[in-house]
Amino acid sequence: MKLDPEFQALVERARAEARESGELRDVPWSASEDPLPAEARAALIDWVESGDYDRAVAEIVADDPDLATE
Amino acid sequence: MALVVDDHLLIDLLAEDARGWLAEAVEASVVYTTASWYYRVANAAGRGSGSGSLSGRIATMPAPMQLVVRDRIARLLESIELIGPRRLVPLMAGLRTPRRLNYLGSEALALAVLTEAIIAVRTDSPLLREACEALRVDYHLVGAR
Repeated sequence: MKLDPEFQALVERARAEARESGELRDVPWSASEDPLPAEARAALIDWVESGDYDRAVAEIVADDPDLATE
Repeated sequence: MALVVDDHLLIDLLAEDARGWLAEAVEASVVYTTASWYYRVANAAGRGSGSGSLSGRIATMPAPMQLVVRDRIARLLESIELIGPRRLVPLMAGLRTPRRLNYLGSEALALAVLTEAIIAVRTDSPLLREACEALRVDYHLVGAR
């Protein structure tokens, strides 16, 4: 990376602050750290595939003229 | 190693659909995106027409995957890192590039400089590519689907 000294100083300061605030990570996350648990994902998929999701959306939309699509 | 991904690649990651070079790079990297690219994806998911390049990708996913992706957009995966404007704006303003970048390009380049990352994009931006060359930041164009 080619940076002039003044800008390099800015970068170093930003890096130090980002590291201190926890915004700058040194280690990659592993794939297992997905915040959506497998059970929740499975439940969502079941909900959609059973048709209950579409029925729930239809009920909500039917009761609220602001959500009508036609 | 760190990686800054654009909006299209962010969708790949949220849909667990990274392949080839991207999949390998993600495995070995801390992954960042910019607020602008994240906003584009969130906007496409929330208010997109379904016919745009981003909203179309989400709209054509199977319904269960759409739910998962929308959830991951609403509460961005913790494995996708963001750095806020408090750190980035001074760097964006301090960038000296051959041609002036817009906000989106400046944000991506400043983030890559700060994190010493490769910028990975699916949509090539000659202006950003040229700026990366000038600052010797790695720029990688990931092949189209």
